[in-house]
Formats: sequence, structure tokens, C-alpha cells
Amino acid sequence: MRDDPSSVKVDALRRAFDAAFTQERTTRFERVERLVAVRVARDGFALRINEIAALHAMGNVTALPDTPSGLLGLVGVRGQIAAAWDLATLLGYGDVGETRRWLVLSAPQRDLALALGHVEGYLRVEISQLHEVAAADSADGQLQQAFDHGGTLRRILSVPAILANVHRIIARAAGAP
Amino acid sequence: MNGAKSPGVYFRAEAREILDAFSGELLALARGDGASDAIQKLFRLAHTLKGAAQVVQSRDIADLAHSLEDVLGLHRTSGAALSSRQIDELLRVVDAIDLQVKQLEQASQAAATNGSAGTVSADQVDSVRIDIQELDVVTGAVFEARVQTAALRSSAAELGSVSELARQLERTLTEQASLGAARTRTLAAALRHELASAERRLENRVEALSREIERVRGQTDRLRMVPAGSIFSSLERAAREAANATDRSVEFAAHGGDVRLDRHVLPAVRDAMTHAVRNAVDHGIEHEQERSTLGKARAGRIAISVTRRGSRVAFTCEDDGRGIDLDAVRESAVARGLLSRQDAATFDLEAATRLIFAPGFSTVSSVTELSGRGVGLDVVESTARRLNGSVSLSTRPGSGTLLELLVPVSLSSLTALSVRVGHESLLFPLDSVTSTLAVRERDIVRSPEGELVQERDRLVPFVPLSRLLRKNGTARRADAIWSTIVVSGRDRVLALGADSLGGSHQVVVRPLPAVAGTPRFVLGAALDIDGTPQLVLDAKGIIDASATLLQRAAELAPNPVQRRPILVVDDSLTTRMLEQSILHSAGYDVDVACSAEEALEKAAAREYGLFIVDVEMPKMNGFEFTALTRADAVLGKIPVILVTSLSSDAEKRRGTEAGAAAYIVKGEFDQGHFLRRVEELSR
Repeated sequence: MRDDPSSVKVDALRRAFDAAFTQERTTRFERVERLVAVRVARDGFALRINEIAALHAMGNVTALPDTPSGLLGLVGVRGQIAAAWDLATLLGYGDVGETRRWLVLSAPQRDLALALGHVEGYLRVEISQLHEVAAADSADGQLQQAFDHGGTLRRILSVPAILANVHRIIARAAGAP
Repeated sequence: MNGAKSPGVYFRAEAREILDAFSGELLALARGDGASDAIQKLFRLAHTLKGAAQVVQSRDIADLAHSLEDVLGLHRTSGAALSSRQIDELLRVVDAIDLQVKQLEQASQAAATNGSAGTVSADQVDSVRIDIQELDVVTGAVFEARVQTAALRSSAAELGSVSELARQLERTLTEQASLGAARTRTLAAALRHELASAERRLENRVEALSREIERVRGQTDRLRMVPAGSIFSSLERAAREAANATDRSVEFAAHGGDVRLDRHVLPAVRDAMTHAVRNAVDHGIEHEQERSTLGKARAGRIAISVTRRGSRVAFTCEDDGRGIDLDAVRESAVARGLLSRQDAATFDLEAATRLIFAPGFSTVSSVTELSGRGVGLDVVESTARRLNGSVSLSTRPGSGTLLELLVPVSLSSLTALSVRVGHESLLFPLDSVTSTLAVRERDIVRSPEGELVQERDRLVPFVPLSRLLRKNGTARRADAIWSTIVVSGRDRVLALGADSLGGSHQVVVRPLPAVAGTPRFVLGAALDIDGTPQLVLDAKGIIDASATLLQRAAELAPNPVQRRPILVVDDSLTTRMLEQSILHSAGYDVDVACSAEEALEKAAAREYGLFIVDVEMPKMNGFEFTALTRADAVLGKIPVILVTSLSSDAEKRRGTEAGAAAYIVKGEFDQGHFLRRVEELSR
């Protein structure tokens, strides 16, 4: 007796279902780094989703007296006041001559706003594709990992390291040793 | 975008609640008014704490909670009351647990700052029985809604423009007056009518929405306030510990716990009042035997009271002890070199109450656990200063002392005056503004010490705000008018020049984030209706730095012309001294002569830039002096200002005919006008 086609199909599905339980249990979520792709000058960077609290359009900036280089001033975001720092300056770029259109708020405090020109989109990158950045290229530890994206190297910014760098700049400006 | 909160967050909040409740129950037992089931309650609290600590694997806290259970368990079984010593022991264990919880918080904060392996700790929760971050989300949403409401208003205004276009369309079509356009005209009219209705409806809805949002915002602001009573337990503990340490008996009472104030203010107040309470016990309350001898109750009384006074809250600490020992304060001040033996003779109670707030001052010769370091009341005074409040102390020798700390209800809310400098809007706390002036550029007096303007009957140093904030000098037009605010602080006054003044309004001042650094003169920032930060400036900070600023202003100001000295000629000593004083304070070099004859001698010996001359003098009068000097080839080039009490038109004409450049009547003397004339003529 020839097998009923629908029965064959059901058997195939049943076998596939059972086989799924024998495979190694992995969570795709855990193997993927979720990132926001940004651009400074002509260089591509990325920020980890879990290190940023929000992304906002650039608003009015209120300048402060006696500010160190890179500190643009204060911005108001949803009823909170954040200090806006120029990401290009923090990464060691000179005047890149581009309009800062975006603010990225740090998590969890939301008091550091990184001002930058271009946000390019959302990326999911397999963790296995990430490699460490050499210390000499890490911009004072602010760039820790990188990956190849469409043939171009894109480096991942560490928001905690950027925050630590900001604190160092402030301490130097205040004359602390 | 960041991860869920860890259980540690909730444990720390719960631990704080349990410890507060535990302390409260113990202190009630100590006072003798504990509940009948207090031991049972305490046992349950300890048990709950132990369980929670075990869940988050905080072994040390769990062990300490277990030790509480052991003690309480025995009493729960036997029914015996806790002794005073046992209560003290239990309170010490509570302190140890509190310390552990604090260490957990610090560790969590350190992890959040450093961020290991790219992960971010989410344990940054600031909890006041409710999760403040959750409240902040609400507050942020409310604020954003306000901003959007403001944008809606703009949209409503745009509808007005569309309505206007429809009116123009209708008018144009009417003018064409052709049959074919009749229908179009009707449509245009209908369009205009509908747009007008839509505009009105939108405006009404925006108004209603604004009102609701303001109501919600006010409510969320209120939720951030905490009752003053939350510090009473801590103060009672301090009184009890101080009494135990000094072998005294103390009864503690507190009132006004329902008064609410900003949670940023209360911790500072708690610390200051703790010092005040300890000071009251250690220095005020007598030992039992002494009190009995004096006919006082055996236990001294420490009473804390909190009352609302408008936008401020008064915290008082009153004791019924011995009051300030004037002799002890005097002797200590002399011994510490703060008072000379000569001044000690006139050293009174008022002077003593001022001195005891000085840092490092103490009447105790040796350092004990409680006192001797001269720290206590200095903390109270510095807290008052930091919170922009005040502290006062009154004492009755033999009867007691009352200390009052007055602080703002909210650090954040104050009335501010807005000023504009270029495109920037800046805010000054209205408390710090003495007056406002319109100052013409040409009325500014320039001296080697800087620029000065006249405010009422005095000359006040002047600094443009733009120079203050940006360290640069902007071009100043000769016909410019400065909208000037005069600020005061630390017994000094300073005039700050702006482009225009706005109104005064209530603002919510927020502290600057740490990542903004600590810019000079900036108290914080407030958000305007568009959500843009406005700097709130610190007048006292500006005044403190004014010496440097004025020097910089003098450097950036146009180089003052090297002025020649001025000779004041008047037979009246008072007038000579007054005019000399006014001119000196404006930076002039001034000589005086008591007669016209003496003036001629001095003029022959020194080159002056201006003569200021009285008219009525013995022998040669002012008119004669003026005419005589005009006839001289050298002296004739030096202008003369006649300053006299003669005010008739005839006398003024005589002065002009004699060659005087200006005639000032003493009875109408205006210092500003006088200095302006001097400035003009002495260039």
C-alpha cells in the first residue's frame, strides 16, 4: 500500500519536531550583539543597545562657562538635564565639520549625551564575529571590539569607557592630579 | 534598552524599610510606649530580613538578622521585657546591618560606573518607598507632554494663518463676481468658517490639556517630597547615645513630622540636627544630681520641632539645660587666640552665640567621643549656608538653649529673575538681587580698580555678564544702555550688566550632572517651556570671584586715560573731606586747599587736571579764582567746576561769565551727576 501523501508529510514533521529536542539548546539571542550603527566623519562605529538609554534628535544646547574641550553644554531630554559631549572630540578627531544631529543618552544614569552626526541603523552581529581591538587603536579604551560589516571595519564604542574618559577630562580641567 | 533590575535593588529597599521599622519599635519600647506585641513584631521583622538576605545571598546580613532572632526569640517565649542594655545591643546590631546595606549600595554604584565586560549594572535605583526612577519616567513623560503642548499652541497659531488664506481666497473670489465663481465663493466661505471653528476647538483643547498636565506635574513634584518625621528616629537615637555616653538622662520629643520637604534637603538637615542634638546633650543637659539640686526634672528634655514658614521649614532643637556658659566660651576663645584679653572684658552672650558656630571652636579641652573637636555646630552653620538657609541660637543661662535651622522647602524650587545676554537667557535667585538699574554706557565710571556705576547713593563695581561667562570683551557701543542687576552677598555688592531683563517666576532648579563638571557661578539649571536648559547663576559665587573679575574687566576695558590729579578748594573741612572721599572712591588722585590763595600756590607746584572750587570763601572767592586762572596761559587750560550753595540764576550766570565749565548747587548735589561732570571735564 502506498503511503498517503499527507501521512508522509505528517511523519516528516513529527520526525523533525522530535529531532529538534535532540539538538544542542542554544539561544540565538545570547549569541548576538545588538548594536546601533553610527558614523563619525567617514568612520563607522557601533554602540551596544544595552549601554544606551535613548536616542534623540539634537535639541538646543546651553553653553556653560569654563568648559573643557568636547563639552558642548547642557541639553534637556524628557524633563532631565544631560551634559552633551561631542563624540568626535572624545574619540580624538579634530573638527570634523559635520552637523551634530543626534544625541545618544548613556544608560543607566541618562546624564551623558553623546552628540554625533549620523545614525545609520540597527545591527545584530554574531558574537563570534567580534574581535578585540588593539590597545593602541582603542582611543583610551573607548573602542574595545570590532567586526567586519560589509567589507568595512566597524568598531564598537564602550559607553562606560567613554563615561570614564569624560570623568578624567573633567578632573584634569578642575586641576585634580 | 538596558537590562531588568537585579533582586539586589529590591532587597536594599526592603532592608531599609525593615531597619527603619525595627528601630522605631525598639525606641518605642525604650520610651515605655511600645505596643503589647512589640517583641512579636520585632521577631517577624528580623525573620523577614533574614529570609530576604538569604535570597540575595548576603550571608553577613542574614547572620546578623539571625542573631536578632535569637535574642528576640528568647523573650518571645518567656514574655520578659527587653532591658535598656538589651535594647542598646539590638540597636547596635541594626547599625551593623545598616552598614552592610550601605556597602552593598556602594559596591553596586562602583560596578555601574566601571562597567565590567560591557555589561551595565541596573542597580541605580534611588528609592523612597516608591521607585524614583519609575517616578522619573512619569515626570519625564509629563514634561515632554508640556513641551508638546507648547508645540500644539504653535500649531493652533498656524491654523490662524490658514484661516487668513481662506479669507483672502473668499475676498478674491467675491471681487471676481462672476456666476461661475459663486459656488467657489460659497465653498471658500465654508472653508473659512470651518477653519475658524477648528482653531477655536484646538485652542480650547490645548488649554484643557495644559491645565491637566500642570496638575499632574504638581502632583509628581509633591511625590518627591518626604515627611520631616522620617529623621526623628535617627535624632532620637543620637540623643539616647549621647546621653548614655555622658551618663545623663534625656527625654526626647518631636513634633511636626508631617511637614514635607525635598528629599535632597532632608539628609543634610538630619546630619546637622544630629550634631545639634548631641551638642545639646553634651553641653546643655546637666547630670541628674545637678538637675535635682536646681529643682529641675531628673531627665533633661530635648525637643525637636518642625514648622513650615512659607517657602521655608524651621527645624528647632530646644533643651532645658544650663544654657551657654559665657565664661567657658570666653576662656576658651582667649585660650585659642580667638579673643584678646582686652576684648574679653566686653565679650557678651550675643558674641558668644556667634563664636560657637566657628569651625574648630569648643569649650571642651579634651576630645571625647562626642565633643571637643569643634565640629558640631560648625556643621549646622555650614549646612545652613549650603542650603541657602540660616541658623540662629538663643540661650537663657540656667534655663536652656534653642537652636533654629531654617532651610528652603525645596532646594529645587525658587523665584528667579531672568536676564538676557545675547541669545542666552540666564536666571538669578531673586533673593540675591538687591535692585535693578538702567545704566548708560557713558555713565559708567572707570577707575584703576575697574568699572563703577551709581546705585542710589553709592558707587558699585560693575561687570558685564557676557565678560563674566565667556571671558571675552564684546564691543560696547557708546550709546548702549545696560539692563543691570545689583546682587549682594558676603557683605559685598556687585552690578552685573545684561542686554535686557525678563520677569521673575518660579523655577525648578536641577543640579548639574556630574559629567558637566563644576562650572563656576552655576547653581544648577532650569528647563524652560521648550525644554531648553537655562543656567541658574550663583550670585555669591560671582561676588567671591569679583576681585579677579574686576581686575580682568579693568584689563579688558578701554585703557583709562592717565588722569591728572584734582584740586578741591573749599574753606569747609566737611565739604573738602566729602568731595575728596567721593573722588577717591572713583579712583581719582585728589589734593585739597582751604582757600583760593592756597590753591594758587598748589597749582603753581603741581599740574592738575581739574579745579573743584567753592564760591563763598574768605578773601578771594570762587568767582575771582576762576577769572584769575582763566587769564593764565597755563592754568586757563584747567577746567573749573564751581560747587556752591548759591543757587540763583544771577549767580550761575556770574559763574559762567567767570569761565567756569560747570556750576553745581550743593543743595541739589547728586553724586552721580557730580562724578559724570568730573569724568567729562577731567579727560
